[in-house]
Amino acid sequence: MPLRYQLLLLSLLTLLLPWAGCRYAREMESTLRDGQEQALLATGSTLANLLASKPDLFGDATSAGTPLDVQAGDLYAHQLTTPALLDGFADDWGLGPDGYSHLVAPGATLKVDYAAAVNEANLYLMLVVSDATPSLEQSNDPAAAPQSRGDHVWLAFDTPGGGSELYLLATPAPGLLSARRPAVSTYGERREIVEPRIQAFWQPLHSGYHLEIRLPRSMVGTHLGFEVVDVSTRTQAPVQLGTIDPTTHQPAGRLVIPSDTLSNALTPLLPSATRVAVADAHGWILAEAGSLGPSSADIYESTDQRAAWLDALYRRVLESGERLPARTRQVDRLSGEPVDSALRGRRAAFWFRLPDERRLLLAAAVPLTGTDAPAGALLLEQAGDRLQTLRSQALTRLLNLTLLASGLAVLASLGFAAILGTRLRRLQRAAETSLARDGRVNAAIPDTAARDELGDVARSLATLLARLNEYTEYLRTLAGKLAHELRTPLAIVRSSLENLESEPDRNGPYLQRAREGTDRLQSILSAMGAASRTEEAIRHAERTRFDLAELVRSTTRAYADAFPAHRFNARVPEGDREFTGAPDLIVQLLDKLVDNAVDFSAPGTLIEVTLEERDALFALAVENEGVPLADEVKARLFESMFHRRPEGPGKPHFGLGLYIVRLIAEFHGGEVFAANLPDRPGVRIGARIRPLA
Amino acid sequence: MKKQIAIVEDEPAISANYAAAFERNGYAVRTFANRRQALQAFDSRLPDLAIIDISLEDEVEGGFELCRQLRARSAELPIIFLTARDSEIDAISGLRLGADDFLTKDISLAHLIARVVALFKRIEARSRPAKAAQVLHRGPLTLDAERLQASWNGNAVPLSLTEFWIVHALAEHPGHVKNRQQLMDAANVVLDDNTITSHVKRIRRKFLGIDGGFACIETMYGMGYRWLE
Repeated sequence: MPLRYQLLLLSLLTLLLPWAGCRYAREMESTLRDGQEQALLATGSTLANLLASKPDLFGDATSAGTPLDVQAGDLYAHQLTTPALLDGFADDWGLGPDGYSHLVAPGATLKVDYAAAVNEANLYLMLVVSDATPSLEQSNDPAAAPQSRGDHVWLAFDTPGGGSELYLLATPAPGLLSARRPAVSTYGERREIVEPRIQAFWQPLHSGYHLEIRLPRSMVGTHLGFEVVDVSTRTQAPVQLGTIDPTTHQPAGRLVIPSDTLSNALTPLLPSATRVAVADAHGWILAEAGSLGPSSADIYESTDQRAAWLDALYRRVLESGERLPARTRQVDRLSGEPVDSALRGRRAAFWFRLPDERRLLLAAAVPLTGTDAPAGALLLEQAGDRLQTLRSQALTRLLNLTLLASGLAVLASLGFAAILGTRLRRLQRAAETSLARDGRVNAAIPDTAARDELGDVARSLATLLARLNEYTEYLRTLAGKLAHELRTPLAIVRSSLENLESEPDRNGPYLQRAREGTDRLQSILSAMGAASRTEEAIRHAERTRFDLAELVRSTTRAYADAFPAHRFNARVPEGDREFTGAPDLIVQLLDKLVDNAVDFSAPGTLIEVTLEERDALFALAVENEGVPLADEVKARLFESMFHRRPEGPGKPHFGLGLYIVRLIAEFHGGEVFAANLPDRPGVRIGARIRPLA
Repeated sequence: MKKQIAIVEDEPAISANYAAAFERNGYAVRTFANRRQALQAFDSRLPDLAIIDISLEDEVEGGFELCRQLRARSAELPIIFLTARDSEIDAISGLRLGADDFLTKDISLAHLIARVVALFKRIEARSRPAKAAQVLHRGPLTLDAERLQASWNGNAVPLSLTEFWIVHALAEHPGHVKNRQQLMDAANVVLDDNTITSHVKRIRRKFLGIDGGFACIETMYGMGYRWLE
């Protein structure tokens, strides 16, 4: 993996920063939540104790100390917040989904759903009667048979004074009607007295009818009951269904109205933005007070105008893994946690999400002490707005800062990696190219001035190369130096021999052999110094314009004379080829190539001297038939003092010939090449040269 | 009276060998190992010819210095550099200092003696009128083989001994190609190809210094050189 990706990965570790920040913020929030829970529970306990010490606050509703029981005929009055229209429909009451209680007659011919409600002045009763055989009043004569009355409803309640009242609600035509109280006149005559204070609206429906009844609160005491009488045919006995004791004609159950006294008593004790509900042992709300307060504006958009997508992203990141249950406001009767816990005698606090999705709700419930089991529960609800705002602000800022820091770290890492990578690559390239294949050293190493470890590496490399260069240079010039140093002792031997020869009678065979030996030594020394002499010639070379094609043709003719054992042919383009360079050196280059070709080919074979031109680059080559080159030989052929000749008598060789070819080719801005002939066993060795500027 | 030759050479064996050879050929020889000794002796009497090595004991270029000092004392004195150093720069420096020839120690004694004889002849010839037979005329070129002097359009060309013989070999048979070996033989030297090339180059430059249009020496690539009229 490239360094830059490694560093990038490493820098991605800084993303742990925002993660850790989130974790910290969540923990902080959790602590704050705990605190809020404890505070709310403490408030709840205080209020519960207060309620326990003042039982009179509950008024009459719970005087018996027993919870409201629908089965026993108890009736719960829903608190109306808006005025209700007497129209036979309860849509304007604001009832909860379970707002109705249900009664079903045996055989299911008659079914009644009912609910009660109060406002300041009036008490309402709503009856939804499902009746397969609805009928209206035929006669309002009290003495008539009950069947002639059609379907009708009895209403029974006790008065605040302790009396007991019974009213009949029946009508010959749907619509508004008044209740009638049955009475016996002083003459023993049964009559019905109209009570205009009790009004009702009869709303027939295809499956039965609705009856909405209204009566002043002041008329009613603590008990209320009703009875629906379904008259189907004249012959059948009417079916009765309701909460009136059939024998005493007294209401069977209580009327429970949420206590204003209690509400008023609780209101000043509440913390701000807190809602309280007091419920009996069955969860029915006996009193409510306070409110959650207005929803603060969207907490994520309140601080400033940030991009919406950013808000969405933050919300997603910050609130992931936190799916709180939603909670709608419960009406009339509390259920679920935390009230269930409180009704079992345990304090509890739970967090919810309000239906608007943005606000949190803390609900805490404490039990109200009863004689043996909790007499009820006190529920406190508080919005978590402040906490949420705090958290989201802290988190947003934290995220901003840490993301910025991470981004900077990533960018810095990338930049650093790029710089480092560039330096390393430069160093690598320099290292790769520093040692040419021919052993020459190019000691230009970058970055040696840097004060870091890379600089150390570069410096080491540069030192290494410098030493290598010295050594290579020493090796390269060794032959020349050696030739030079040996010249003086050789001169001594030669001059001594020559003096010896001049003396009379000294021309023995030994002297002759010594002469031959020195001559050979001389030619060896001359060959050894050839490379350095060529280098010197190159240094002093003069460039002239000349015809390269003619030069090749002319030299090839000369070679034919010089090496009569071989056949020579020049493969040169027609006409002249102007070239700027050092002709002497080019001739020398050809000499060496031809020398080499002659040495490696059998007598009588053809040696071809070729010249090709392509893009101002001239390829001079000599082809000879003979043993092809091995690959490892090809690579080293042009090195100084590399030779592949078998040892034997004759002209001494130091492997300098082709090295000289290379020197001359490089002087002419070119390079050398060696290849085997494609069509026959043989070798093609040459140089590409370009005209000097 | 015998001609006196001074050999300034720090290698005693070579010095002795050369001295023996010259004495055998009828010259008087004095040998010196360094510049100081040589100058002391030259104070009393200048030799007739000096053969000088370039590096003398601790002086790397003591021979050059000695040559300069000798030339200051005598413009006529023949001076030959005989050295193991064969670089172009050394040869150019030596000849520029006024030496008559620059030889490497590869040269055989016979060749060396031939050159010495030639140089002495030149000195003698200066005091005599030129013999027509010894003078070669090739257009503007005049070569006096006895005085070893070359001139172009009447202007003397300052050729060294080797250079003179190369020009002489070429101009003797105009149009004939002389290969390197033939030129070496003519000049009584053993030189490698590069040295011949640089000699020819120097010769051309000297003629060009007198006549910008000089183009009489033609290079026959791969074969040698020839004189064009």
